[in-house]
Amino acid sequence: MKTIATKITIDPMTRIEGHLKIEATVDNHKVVEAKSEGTLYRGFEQILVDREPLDAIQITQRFCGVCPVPHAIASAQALDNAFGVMPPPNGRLIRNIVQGANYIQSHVLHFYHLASLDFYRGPDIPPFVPRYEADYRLPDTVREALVNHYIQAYQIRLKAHELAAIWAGKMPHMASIAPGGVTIIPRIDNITTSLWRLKELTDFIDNVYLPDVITVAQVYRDYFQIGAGCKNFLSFGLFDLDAEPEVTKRKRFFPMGRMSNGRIEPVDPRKITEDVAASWYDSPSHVHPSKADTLPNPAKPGAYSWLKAPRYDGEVYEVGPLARMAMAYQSKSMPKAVQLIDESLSTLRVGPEALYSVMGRHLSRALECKLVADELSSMIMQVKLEEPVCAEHKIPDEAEGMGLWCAARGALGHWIKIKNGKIARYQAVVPTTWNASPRDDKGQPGPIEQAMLGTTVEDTDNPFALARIVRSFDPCIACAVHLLEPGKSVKQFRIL
Amino acid sequence: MVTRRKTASTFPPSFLLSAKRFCLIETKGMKEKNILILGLGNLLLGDEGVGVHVVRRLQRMPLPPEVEVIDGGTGGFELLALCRGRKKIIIVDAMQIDAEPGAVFRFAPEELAKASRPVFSAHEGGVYELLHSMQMLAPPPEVIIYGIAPAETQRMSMALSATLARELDEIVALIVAEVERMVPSM
Repeated sequence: MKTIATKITIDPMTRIEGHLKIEATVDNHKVVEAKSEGTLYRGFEQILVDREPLDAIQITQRFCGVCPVPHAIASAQALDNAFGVMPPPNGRLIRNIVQGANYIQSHVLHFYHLASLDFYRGPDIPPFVPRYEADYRLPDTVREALVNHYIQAYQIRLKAHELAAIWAGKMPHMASIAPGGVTIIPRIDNITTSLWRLKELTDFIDNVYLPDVITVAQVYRDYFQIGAGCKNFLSFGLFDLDAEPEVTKRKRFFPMGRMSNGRIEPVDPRKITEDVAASWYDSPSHVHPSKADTLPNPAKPGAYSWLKAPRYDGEVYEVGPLARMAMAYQSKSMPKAVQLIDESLSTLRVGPEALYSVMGRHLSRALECKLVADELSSMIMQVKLEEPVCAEHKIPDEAEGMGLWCAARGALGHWIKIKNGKIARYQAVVPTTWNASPRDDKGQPGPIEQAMLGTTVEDTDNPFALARIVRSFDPCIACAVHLLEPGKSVKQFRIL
Repeated sequence: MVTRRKTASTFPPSFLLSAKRFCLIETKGMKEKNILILGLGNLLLGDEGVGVHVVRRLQRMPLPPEVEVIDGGTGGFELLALCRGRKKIIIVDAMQIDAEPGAVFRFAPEELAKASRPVFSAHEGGVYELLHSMQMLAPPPEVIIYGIAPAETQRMSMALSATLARELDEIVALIVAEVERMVPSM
């Protein structure tokens, strides 16, 4: 029997700053069409035009209130590339340490303060209410522990921020990231005060965060079968391990690469394009970010998002912790990652295929958090006092540069063009643009859209499965608008 | 300029307090600079960044030694580290409200919470998360919000609109007056 399709809208979706609207058409309890819509215009890059190249590191930090760190580092790497300099070991390590601390902060934030609320019924007071009614299955003892850890996670995030600030000069709006390295002179107390903070973070990750994710995953095992998505993964890699100027050849802790049809392949940055067929832009479609223009047209027929659709060689790719961990697992390039994933999968009695799912994303994020924290302690110990932190540089009259890095949420690229010593063009392609992208020129839906297709929705008034799928990607877009909005009601769901 | 004042009521007790086992975030004593002026907003979006413009002006002015002025940008929760050990915090931010550009509203956080019901979650917007997490500081600081109605907020620019640029002196003067009330010796 044919039922009448229902259209569900979830708006806003991200719980942190940002504007992402999800529209799903449900027919016979299955999602038959899904649209992920970025509802805010982006295009901060145009502010950089005609400014001093060094301004990029400061201004791009203002793109996003949640991830200023990766923007600063990607920007500094684009400048390294344009100026033809590479940071000395200290500069490289300190950038890595700041980024690592930001990963821990971001992953703990995502699980405890954003995603875990999808799985348990907290106390009846804000921020736990209002909530939507879902299949909350965790027993009371687990619920209580999670509420406690929710509070504890605030302290942990503070510690992670402090750890970053020790090396960044200050947080937010880091002062120490510069082309050619960093400007902070390491002292012994930088190292000691970092280590005790890291010890606390590691304790939390090992004894609270990871066990909590496993506990939730055990109860919600069905979410290992929900929200697979495109199963193509892209990562630009994380933590530089050497000073190879060519970024695609540089050794990184999490390697740069992509996974397509289960095979690990190298990344050729020239094959990245941005499509705008379904985006509110009149600029040419399917062009490389270094050549892309951004001409808004909110009246463009057929368009439904302010996000462009980044593609690699015309194909859809998911970015983020799952992308990094799936590749680490598949390529066997990181024995510790393989061991952690194997142990977790066997505890949960699921196979490797289960990684491509809602729970797989949460598990990947938690395991990655552990890998990063463990690596941090080694990196902090490698910082050498009284050795250089920054390579000397001269701003060229004309140059082009590219910075490819991984934010906590996934692959981040910055492209700069310098003319007459000033910025002539700047483009950033951010992780959520990959994951929450709309349809491309070929009509292929983006990763989040694909992950929702076919999902069972029993009650269209409470499409909690969809909320859980979207949240597992940790979306964060256009998070830079910061208005207070008293009196403006924010609806949980709107049924059209 | 419209200046509507609302009496700040006492801050609500830290949330979840019926359950005493919840740990609060320790503050390790009061900071010497126990008054914080925190400017919020996105500097790249014209009037949206008015809070940052205001604190940048204040940073160049002589203020009592107990006052610290910080540009918080679009930071949310991470600004909590800067809020520890403060007795009073003045937040300056743009505010989406039906009022003429440059109108200034002074209110306590709980007014905001009341007005914005129903909320999807306290994390909708970094400023809400910040205000919420401030309640977990022990002891919680007294927070006053100065909300400023923007002329426009979708223009990519690091400068204020002409309207707000004209009002900036007066807005800064209001904040200075607030500080004077807090520090009578000023």
